[in-house]
Amino acid sequence: MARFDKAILAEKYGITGVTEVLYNPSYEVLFNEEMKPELEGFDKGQETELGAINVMTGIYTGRSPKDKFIVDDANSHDKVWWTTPGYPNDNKPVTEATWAALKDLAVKQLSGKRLFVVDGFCGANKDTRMKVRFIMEVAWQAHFVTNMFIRPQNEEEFDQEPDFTVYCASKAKVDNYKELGLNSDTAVVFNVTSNEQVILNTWYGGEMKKGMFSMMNYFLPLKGIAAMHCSTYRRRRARLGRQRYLQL
Amino acid sequence: MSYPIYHIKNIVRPISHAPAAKQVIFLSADAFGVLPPVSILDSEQTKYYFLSGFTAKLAGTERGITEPTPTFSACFGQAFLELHPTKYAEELVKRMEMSGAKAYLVNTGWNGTGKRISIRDTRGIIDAILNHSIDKAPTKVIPYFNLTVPTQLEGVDTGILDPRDTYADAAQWEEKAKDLASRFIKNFVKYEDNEAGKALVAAGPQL
Repeated sequence: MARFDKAILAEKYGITGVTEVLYNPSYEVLFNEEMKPELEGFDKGQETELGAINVMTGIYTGRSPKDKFIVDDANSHDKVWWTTPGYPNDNKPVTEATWAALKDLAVKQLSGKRLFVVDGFCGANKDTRMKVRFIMEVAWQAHFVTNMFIRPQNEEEFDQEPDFTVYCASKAKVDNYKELGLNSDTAVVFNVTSNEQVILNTWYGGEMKKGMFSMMNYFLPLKGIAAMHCSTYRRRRARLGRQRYLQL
Repeated sequence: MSYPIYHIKNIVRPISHAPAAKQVIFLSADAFGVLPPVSILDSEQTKYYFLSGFTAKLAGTERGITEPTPTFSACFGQAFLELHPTKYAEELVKRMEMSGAKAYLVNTGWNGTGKRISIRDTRGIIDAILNHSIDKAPTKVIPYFNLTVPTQLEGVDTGILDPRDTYADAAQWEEKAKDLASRFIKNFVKYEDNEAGKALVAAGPQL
């Protein structure tokens, strides 16, 4: 397995002072991490009768579309379907300066911590999939993305540089959101030029999953590939084999 | 709830690999009792109904929803679209034309009887789509929406295929149909800000 250590977090992402990094941890490691007795609040996992892990995510039990933003820059400006007053949608613009401030908040939150880094693929087709790197401090969030994304299978896949990076900083708040022109102290922000997502002040795991689904919906049609919100089935022999393509 | 794909026994292997789809089904739950349970779409209608993303939010699915509420969610997933919806419709239809795929609009909502279309009938419809028998069935065209519907399908109650037949008086359907058609037309205005969208108006309901 490829090496990954905290030096990479400092050099590549500016996340400094990391005490330890758990890279693509196994389910066994994840279970022990999310069940640690000293965990409190939304960090804490509870084992159910059937052996699943149950967690609380606070007031965010779903996505927070009002807190979704996309960086409006020279590259994205003419591509993104921006919201308009007449026909509103969730694609609200933020400036590059706001992005820098929000990313800095996430990087500061993740610095000096014990972190989880999970690399997974989004998409089954090797020609069009994206390798996504999730960086977070919450064990069950690492468990969630391990479930939802396709795991690297060999050294070559581990070594492959990620195409997209997600900074999940659920414990950071955007105190100066009014000044930045945001909706609340929660923010879910995409930068389709640097290929990054920053998540602040929401614990909901779906921001990472649906966030990457949204990014596939951005990048694929630009390459001439159809993208849609669906599931697919394939008839095989007498039975219907279920094909989970992007199960949403 | 979240679990890895490997927890499902009969997934397609190699995982998520398959040839291009031959049939695309748009799923709608029409609470107005207007849409037929199944319509065979041409390529322009495929774009139009994909862009419209019409369905209904049902009581209990969301806070504050106490009666079936119509909703238009672009491409049946507006919250996750980052590009203009017409881009998704174009790419979908381009791919479908390459593989010779056809699209069907399946409605699992209510009809003139006030009851929901039965699961038995919906299954019959899905079977007829998958075994291609729907493509050989006799058809007719439903007014206002110009939707082509089969008049007979094996395993499906013939009396529901034309929604007008489920009303004691077809005039009742007519009134509801005009209302729903005007909602489609009004919703579609937002796509008419580009040429691709403007060109599709003719594929939608007409009053």
